Amino acid sequence: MSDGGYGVSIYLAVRAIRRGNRGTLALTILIIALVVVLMNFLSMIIGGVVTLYNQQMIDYQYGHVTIEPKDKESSIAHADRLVKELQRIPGVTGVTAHVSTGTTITNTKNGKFQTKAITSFDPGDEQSVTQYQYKIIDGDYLSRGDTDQILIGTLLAGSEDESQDKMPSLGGVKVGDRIQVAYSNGVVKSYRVKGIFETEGALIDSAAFVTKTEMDSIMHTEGTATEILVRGTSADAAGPLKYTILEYGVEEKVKTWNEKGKGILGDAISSFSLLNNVMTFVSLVVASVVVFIVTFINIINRKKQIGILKAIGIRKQVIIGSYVLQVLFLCTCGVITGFLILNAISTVLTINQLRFPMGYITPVISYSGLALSIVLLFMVSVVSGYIPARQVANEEILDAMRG
Amino acid sequence: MTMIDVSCLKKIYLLGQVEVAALRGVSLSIQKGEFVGIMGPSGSGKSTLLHQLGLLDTPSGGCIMIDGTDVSQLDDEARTRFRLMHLGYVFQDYALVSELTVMENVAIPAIMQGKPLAECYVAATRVLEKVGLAKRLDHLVFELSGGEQQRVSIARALVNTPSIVFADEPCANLDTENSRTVLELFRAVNRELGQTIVMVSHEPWHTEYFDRIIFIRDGVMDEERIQREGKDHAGPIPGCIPD
Repeated sequence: MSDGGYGVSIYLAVRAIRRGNRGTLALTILIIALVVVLMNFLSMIIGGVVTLYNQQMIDYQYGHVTIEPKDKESSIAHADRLVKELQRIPGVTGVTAHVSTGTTITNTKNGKFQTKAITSFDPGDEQSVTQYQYKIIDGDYLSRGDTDQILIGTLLAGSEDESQDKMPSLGGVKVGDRIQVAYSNGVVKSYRVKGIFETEGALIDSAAFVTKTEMDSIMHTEGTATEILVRGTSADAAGPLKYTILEYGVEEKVKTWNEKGKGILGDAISSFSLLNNVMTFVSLVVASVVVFIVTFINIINRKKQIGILKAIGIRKQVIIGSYVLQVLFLCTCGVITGFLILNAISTVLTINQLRFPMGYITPVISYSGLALSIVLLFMVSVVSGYIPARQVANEEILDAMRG
Repeated sequence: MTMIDVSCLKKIYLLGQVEVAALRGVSLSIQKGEFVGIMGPSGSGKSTLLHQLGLLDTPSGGCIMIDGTDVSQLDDEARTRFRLMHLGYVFQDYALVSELTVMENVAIPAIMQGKPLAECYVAATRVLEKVGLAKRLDHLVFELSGGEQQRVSIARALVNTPSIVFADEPCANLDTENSRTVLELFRAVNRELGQTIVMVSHEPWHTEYFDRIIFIRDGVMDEERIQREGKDHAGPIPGCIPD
C-alpha cells in the first residue's frame, strides 16, 4: 500500500478512544468484562466440583487404580498374593485390599438402624492409599488388632436432633457408644465406635469400616478381596500405571479412578456442561448485540464525520479499520477487566467456599475454556463492529455528510 | 492551461419515481490559477455542479477532465485517491473531525498520503501559520469560533498543495467580518500560490473576489447573465445541447 493506509486507522482510532465519551467507553468495557465473567463463571464452579470430586474419589474411594474381580466373580481370590505383587510394581506407592459386605447397623441406644455395606481393610495398608486417618474428628483411627471396634462417617453417626441430619443416620452416635451390626450370614455383633471421620463428601461420610481381621473372622474372607485400591505417584499417572499393572499379568479388571468415577458424576457434569454451553452462547449473543449497538450508535453519531473523511480522500477500508480497532481495544480492555473480576470472584470463593453435597469447593478457572471464550468474544466483537462500520462507510459521501 | 474541462455534464436525481434533473448539460472550462465563483439562485444546481467537479458525487452523464485526467472513468477507489492527491475541500459547515486537534485535522490528508508524521505536522503547522492559527495548533475544534474553524478547514484543503480547492458556500455560516477574512485568505492563496479555486456562493458582494463567475440557473449555465455581467470567458462546447 502506497498511502498511509492502516497507520491512519490506528491514528484515528487512538484519538477517538482518547477523546471520545469516557462514560460510554467504561460502560462498554464493563459489559464485555461481565460477559467474560458470565462465560466462565459456571465452568469455574463446575471445575471446582470436578476437581473436588476427583480428589475425593482418589483419596477415599478408588485410589489411583482400582482392581475388581473378573466378570462373573464376586471377589478376587488370592488377594494377599496380588497385593504383595502390586506393591513391587514401580510407580506404586500404596496398595490396600477391601472386603465389603451388606449389613444392617443399629444404634442400640435409640433403635435406629441403617442398611449399609461395611468395608474392611488393613489399617496399615489403608493409610498408604486413602486419607481417612487425617479426617478423624472424634476418637481414633482403627488399629490392626482391633476386632470389636468400628469407624464410622459423621453422616452415618448423625445427630440426636433428626432435623440436623442431611442423610438417614443412626440418630446421634458418639465415640464410645456401642452399635450392633447384623451381617448377611446371620452373625450379629456389637461394636464400640472407635472413631468418627468427616471428609465433607456425602457418599463417603455415610460409610463404616472394620478391620480386615474382624471381617475375616465373621465372613471368612481370608485371602480374598472385593476390590484392591492402588495409589501411584499422581492422578495424571493413573493411566500409565493401569497399563503397567496389566503388563505385570494381572487378570482382574483394572480401572483408573477416572474410569470408575465417570458414571456417577458424568451425567451431572454433562448437564452442567450443557448449561454452561447455553450460558456461553447467550453471553456471546449479548456481547455481540452490545458491541453491535455501541458501534452502531457510535458510527451513526459519526456518520457525517465518516462522510467528511471519505470526501477528503480517506479510503473506506481505513475508516472501517479505525472502527474495528476501536472495537478490538474495547474487547481487549473488557477481557482483561473480565479476567481480573473472574480472578477476584475466584479468590473470594476460595476464601468463602461454597458448600456442595461433596464438600466445600474451591473454584477452578479453566484456562483453555477461558482462552476459547476470549477468542470467540473477539471474533463476535470484530464482526459486530465491522458490519455497521462497513454499512456506513459504503454510503455515498454526500448522504453520509448530511448525517 | 486548462485545469477543468467539463462537457455535457448531467445529474439526475430520483425522488421516489420522479426524475429531477439538477444539471441538464453543463459545459465549461476553468483555467489553472483561476478563482472562479459559481453563483445562482437557490436550487439552481450550483452545489450539485461543485460536487460533480469535486468527485464527491457521480454524474449521470457527461465528461469531466481535471488536469488532463478523465475523472469520469475512474472507479470508486481511484476517485478517492484522486481526491486525496489532487483536490482540496472547504465546506459550508467546516466539516472538521471533532476528535482531532486543529493540527491533526489539517495533517490527516498528508498522513493519508503516506508522508512521515513529523513531515505532516511541519506542513500542517506551516499552513496553519499562513491562515493565522499558529497559536491554536493543539486546540480541539469545538474550542474555536466559526471563523477559526473555517480557516482550519481551508488549511486542511491546502496542506497537500492540491491542484484545485473546491469551496461550497464557505461563508454561509459566518458573519461579514469572518466571511471577508476567509475570502481574503482565498484571494491571497490564489494570488500568491496560483491556487485554482472553485467556490460556490450566493452573496453578491463575494463577486469582487472572483476572477470569473459561472451563473447557473435551472441546471444549465445562465448565458444571458454571463453575457450581461461580462465575466465569463468560456461558452458552451459546440455539439452539446442542454436539455
